[in-house]
Amino acid sequence: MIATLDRRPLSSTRRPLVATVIACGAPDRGDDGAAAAAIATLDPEGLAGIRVRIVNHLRVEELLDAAELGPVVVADAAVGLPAGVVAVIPFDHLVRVARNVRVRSSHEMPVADAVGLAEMLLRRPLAGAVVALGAGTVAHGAPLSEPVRAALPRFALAIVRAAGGEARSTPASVPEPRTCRTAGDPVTAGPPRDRERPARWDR
Amino acid sequence: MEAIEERAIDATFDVEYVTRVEGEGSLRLRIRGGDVVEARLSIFEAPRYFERLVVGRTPDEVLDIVSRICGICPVAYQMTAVRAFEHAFGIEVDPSIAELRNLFYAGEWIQSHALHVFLLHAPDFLGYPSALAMAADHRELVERGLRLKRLGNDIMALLGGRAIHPVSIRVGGFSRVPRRAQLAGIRARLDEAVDDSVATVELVAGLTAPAFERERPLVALRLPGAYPYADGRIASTDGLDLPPDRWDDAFSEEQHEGTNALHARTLDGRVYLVGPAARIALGGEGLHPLAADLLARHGLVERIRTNPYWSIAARAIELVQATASARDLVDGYRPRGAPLVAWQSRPGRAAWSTEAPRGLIFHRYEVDERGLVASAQIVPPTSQNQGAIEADLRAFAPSVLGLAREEATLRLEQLIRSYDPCISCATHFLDLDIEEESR
Repeated sequence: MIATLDRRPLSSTRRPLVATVIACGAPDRGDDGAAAAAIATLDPEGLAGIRVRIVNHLRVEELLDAAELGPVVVADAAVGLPAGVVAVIPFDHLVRVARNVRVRSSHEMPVADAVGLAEMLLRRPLAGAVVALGAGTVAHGAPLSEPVRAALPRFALAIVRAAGGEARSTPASVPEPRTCRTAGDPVTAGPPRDRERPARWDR
Repeated sequence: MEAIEERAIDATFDVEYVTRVEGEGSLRLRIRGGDVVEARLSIFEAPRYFERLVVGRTPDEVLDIVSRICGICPVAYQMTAVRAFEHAFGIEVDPSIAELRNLFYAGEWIQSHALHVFLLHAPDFLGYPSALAMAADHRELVERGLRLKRLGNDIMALLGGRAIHPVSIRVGGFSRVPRRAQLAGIRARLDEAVDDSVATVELVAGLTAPAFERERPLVALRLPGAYPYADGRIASTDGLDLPPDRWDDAFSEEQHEGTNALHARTLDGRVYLVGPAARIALGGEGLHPLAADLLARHGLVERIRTNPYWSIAARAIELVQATASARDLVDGYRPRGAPLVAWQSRPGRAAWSTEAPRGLIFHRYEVDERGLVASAQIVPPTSQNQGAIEADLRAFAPSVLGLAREEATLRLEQLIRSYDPCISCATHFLDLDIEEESR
């Protein structure tokens, strides 16, 4: 089953918890720190109703804890995408695609396995998505690469929208990524679409 | 000369990414006339320069920096560095602080071993391609593994401020210590954790492992009457006996082509292994009685010593060791006075070895007159094991070359996973590459 986005507008302040964002990566390792850097660009109001966890790497326990509270967005840099390209991959799509590929991952286990394991232990599908940003360099001590730095607002917008929030501090001129829904290569990036309508996970 | 050598190679076999290991790397086998002439475990993650990053830093800053080397075993890096500085500066911490540090270290062993035994290694023995596939039929195993892992994380977070890259360990003690009431929350879960660990040994003792016996030197700390975390002398199965600050009297590191990790060798050029198997082979008599009894009852010592696949049993025994010793440490903990003692730096060499979950780890720092680090050497377990892993792969590979590629890759990966390499530490990971060339 493919997760669907509820396009109804949401209020921006004093909102109950909508979702948890797990921002993965080491800030001291170049583009690996992109998720935390993207979160830092957001006005706190843009994160209303969103619980943010900044972690070095994804752990199944983290996913299980977050899933108890609602939908989960895993934000991370990815080496399989061109630098600066944003991809939004719903969990159900991720798990399905990962069945047929050998996944490369520096987490404790590949994200698709972690999501699948969490779903199995919870005995229900996990609502949410992976929001990935193609990384250039992940060398220790390196700054963010230029393509990644330029893509941070788009990445932040994609994270917040996947979590069902409103990214008010994201410049309006920045293109919005679109959600990947096709089988095969999960790489997506694209022009703005429905920019005025924030999204919410609804399962 | 090199061109002639290249023409003589009949084949190579590449595993582009070895899965279910921590970090990223690849394996390339070179085959000549049906013989495997080279097995190269390539670690291609960019160099990480930690030994340079700590130069000019204070000892306490070093503790924060080296914890960033690994998200799985940050305590090992902090504990080794802190013991090196305290040894050099003549600092004696209160025994209650030393015990809390052992509890801190036990937490890391628990989470690291639970991750490896249940999520990375067990699927190989039970015939599943991943922990996810295994969970469909063995849900209770995965739940047990995650329960143990979560407890290990919580112990680390309680003592270190957070589970990944902890922050509270300081030269001279801790910046803060938990109250007994906080430890009580952990204590209530340790009984179940001990039971879970014992059940894990019972399970793995009944598994069937491929027959692959290897004789190579094993190296670990040995501590009379106790099992080593951060104390003991460096010992080997071929008779080595050194104080924990003198690793470099017997071993050295060297650069190898095609990898960003340094390899360690004995000074006369031999490969060796560190890790749980080495600890049990050299210091099994110091195990907690509960772990020692299980080890003896299942007759695991010789299998663990000689067959790398049986490292799963070594980790299971050490889960019992870590959970049972953690329970004893919590029961015996009596906070006394300030958690931090005053200290004064001294110029000179600061060095120490401790036992990370994956094996012996050595740090050496030169401290200048200002109390700042002038140079550093950090030797993680995986870079010490890499030479022995490659030697074992070279010996093992001929048995799989006749198999279909997918099956050969799986068998080779299974062997690699037996060593629990942390490529992140050694700098990072694994791809299999078999290269075929005609004469």
